[in-house]
Amino acid sequence: MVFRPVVRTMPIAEVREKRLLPVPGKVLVSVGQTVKASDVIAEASADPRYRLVDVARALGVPRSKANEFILCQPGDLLRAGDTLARKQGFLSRIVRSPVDGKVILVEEGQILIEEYREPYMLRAVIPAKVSAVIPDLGAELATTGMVVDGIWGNGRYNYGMLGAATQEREAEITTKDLSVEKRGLILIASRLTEAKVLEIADSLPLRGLIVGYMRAKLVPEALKVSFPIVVINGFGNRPMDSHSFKLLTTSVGQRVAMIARKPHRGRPVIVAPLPSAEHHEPPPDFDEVTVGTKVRITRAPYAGAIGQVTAIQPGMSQFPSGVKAPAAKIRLENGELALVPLANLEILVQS
Amino acid sequence: MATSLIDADSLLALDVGSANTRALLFDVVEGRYHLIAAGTAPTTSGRPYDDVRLGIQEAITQVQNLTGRVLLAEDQSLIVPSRSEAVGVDQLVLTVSAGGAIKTVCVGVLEDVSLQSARRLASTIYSSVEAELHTSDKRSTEGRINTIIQAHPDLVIMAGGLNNGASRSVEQMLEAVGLAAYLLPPERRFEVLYAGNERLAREVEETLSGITPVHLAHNLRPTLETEQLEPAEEKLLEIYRSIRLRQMPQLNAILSQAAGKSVFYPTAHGFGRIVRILSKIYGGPKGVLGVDLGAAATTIAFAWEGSGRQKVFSDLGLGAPLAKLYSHTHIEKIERWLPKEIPPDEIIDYLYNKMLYPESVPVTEEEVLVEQALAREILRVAIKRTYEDFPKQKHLAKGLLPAFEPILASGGILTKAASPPQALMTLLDGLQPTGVTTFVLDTNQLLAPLGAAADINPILTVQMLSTYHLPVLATVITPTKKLKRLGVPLLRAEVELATGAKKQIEVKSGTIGVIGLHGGQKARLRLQPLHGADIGFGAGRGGTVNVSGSKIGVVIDARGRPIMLHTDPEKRREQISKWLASLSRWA
Repeated sequence: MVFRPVVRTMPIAEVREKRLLPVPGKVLVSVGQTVKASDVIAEASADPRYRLVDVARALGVPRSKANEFILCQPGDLLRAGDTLARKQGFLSRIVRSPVDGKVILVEEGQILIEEYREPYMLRAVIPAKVSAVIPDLGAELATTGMVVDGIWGNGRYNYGMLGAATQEREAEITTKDLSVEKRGLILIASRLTEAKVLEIADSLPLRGLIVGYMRAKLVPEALKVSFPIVVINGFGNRPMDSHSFKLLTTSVGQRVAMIARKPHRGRPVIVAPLPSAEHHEPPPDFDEVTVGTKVRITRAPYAGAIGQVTAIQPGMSQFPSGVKAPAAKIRLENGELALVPLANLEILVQS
Repeated sequence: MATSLIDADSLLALDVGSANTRALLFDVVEGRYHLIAAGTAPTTSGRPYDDVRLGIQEAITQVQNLTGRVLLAEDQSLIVPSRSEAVGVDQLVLTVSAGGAIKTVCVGVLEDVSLQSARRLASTIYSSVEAELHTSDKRSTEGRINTIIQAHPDLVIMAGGLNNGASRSVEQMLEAVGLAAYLLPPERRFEVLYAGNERLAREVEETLSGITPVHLAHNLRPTLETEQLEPAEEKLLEIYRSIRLRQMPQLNAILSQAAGKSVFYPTAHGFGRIVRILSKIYGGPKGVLGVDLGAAATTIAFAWEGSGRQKVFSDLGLGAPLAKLYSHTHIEKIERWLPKEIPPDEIIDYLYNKMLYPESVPVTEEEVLVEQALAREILRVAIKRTYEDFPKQKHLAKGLLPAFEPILASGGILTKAASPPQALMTLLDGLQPTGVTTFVLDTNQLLAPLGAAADINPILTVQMLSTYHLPVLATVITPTKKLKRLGVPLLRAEVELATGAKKQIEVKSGTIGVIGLHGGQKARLRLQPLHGADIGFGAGRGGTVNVSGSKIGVVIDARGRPIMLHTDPEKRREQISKWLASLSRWA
């Protein structure tokens, strides 16, 4: 049995997306609650900073005696400038809090303060219903609608109206495609090769960019822009796969959520909530490759091509490069029969 | 342990790599241990599978299908011990390199003493050092606390203070580590390995044990001159197992099915151990070197007469770490090894696509060439970073690789490379060996599991090392010299076969010469380096070596050290193609 990841390019599906904090925090929603894209569903202190105030040194007293002069205790909330300790006398001395925060610990003449920082707020991004709460981390959101899985994201999130940069699947997005009318849209582009496009897109600004293939040399710029970017197929200079392009471009005008997760946090995803009376069983995250399975190829020379498995080859197969690997025969959309390593396949689910 | 091999234990080795999981069945046939069958399946420890068992069960199923031996029960649990020759297995060895690097913070007192040793210890397993603290780092206590917390470590290694030496500096560091642990929620607290001033061990334990798991080991630096990593390495292995079993809880079930009859190690540890065993067997002034080029990491293992260790580079792998390689390597350093023109944009695309799909296989010739060029650069960087760890007395001039024989090579890019000449060229270009050495390819990727198996079945390990005969790729002779001119004779050799037939060969600078000598053949070589080149006997001094046949034969690499690549790209590509053609003719 060979298992491969499942990727979704589905016009209508039940979508369950986990929205999780990067570190444990506080979940603000409950099961059954309906949330809007902009609602905050959880928050956390993502990057805590601490200050250690050495009262003993500041007051010029031994550590063993310093606690007598300390006026705060663990749990106290502080503003910058609040008095932490005071030593009365001929020359009285005062120790003040350097920051807004909370007292964590008072011990041996030292005060440990957690500095107040704006919490990280996790937004729903997808208008949906909360189907499960993951304690301290977030929630699972459920909706029905169009869903397209990507492979790379720049870590940003947004919700907005879908527009197309170009009409032709073979075309690449250029700066000429970024007119003022495109401002505020989430644009679909088959391929992206120019850094200047990202620069102009950021200044418009766009609300998001969905591309089939992007040149990897643009990754540093893509990480800096203010809007989410989702790459559907991979890095290079090829057109988006036919199924994703067709599904996305026929959805122009709909509102979509873009969760452009970075690779280490899972697959990025595009979801367009749509009402549906029917129940749609969500596909599994991975499945077995068998004869008849619909697949998408991830590597050259057929990168992005879609086809159907006609045979799983026994043992190892040899490729033009000389490398040997377990393989399958795939009937591509153009009729060609290709031999492809099993490791270079993704299972494509469209319904 | 069996007193007779008639009753010897069968052993199943499972190696869970970041891309592939392998199952290897060993048993006794005609009085000796042999590899009976091997199965390979994609590793399923990460997304979207999140269950390492799927890949393990698939790999074991392949072994079952090949042998007819039933290893898994109906509920897919491992049958241990064996019930007959056809059912079950007696012992289990588990080696793991999957799971991502263990985030580590190293804390020492002196930067170039205890901190350096802590760093060396961390590098013996799959770790990434996220931050380093020492007394001269100009940080305040709060700065140290914040640094540790923001590193999100799984592990903090604390070292520093000579035994019975001053304690204040260590106590300052302990304060920061203790407070950082205290401030973290319990489920996010790191483990602590303390290997510093042993007089403070109790204080460290008392301070930390109520807050976070603490492990004590002998001082890494008991004196300024002495470094001892081995005792702490044992503790580090315990911590590694504990962290991995938390990350991959399904491994607990597999290990408990073979309770008392199993061992579990990081793959790199097994690999390092085999290199140490072989160096003890071979002895002599030359060390043994092992290189394992994996998807998640590259391991360099080295040893002389049983003493040595491994160094794991979790930022140098042919899978997920590739994007990091690009961030600190100029693309020209990869491009320079390509025998045909491939645009830099496509090379960068390849790096990132391989990062996204680490288990994927290069199908086109161009992609294989890029992957092999990457392998060279990874080897070059890894060896450069290992150089400081070789004993000083083994150093050769100006950063040249010390004398090693044999050099063991493992990793899919080498063992599954299109051809033996491509594998050898990748190794020669990346490592740039000196003197006379033999390259051995771990074709079935057995070395790490055999190293781990030595714990519970040393007879198997020893017998497999001899039965396996470690397939030799080539004997390589390198007249070491920084070249000033190309095309000048650099080495003359007289080859005398066992039949008595003789042949003369002259190799010019900038070229590769090959003496076709294949399996079963033996020869005596009388070697005379010219123009002051050194083949290991001293500059300009000749000598005689006895060689055996191998896949490619005897290779004379007269390209200079370091290898002289043409500055003109087209001439360079022509040069590389010619070198590869020289090897390919004989393989």
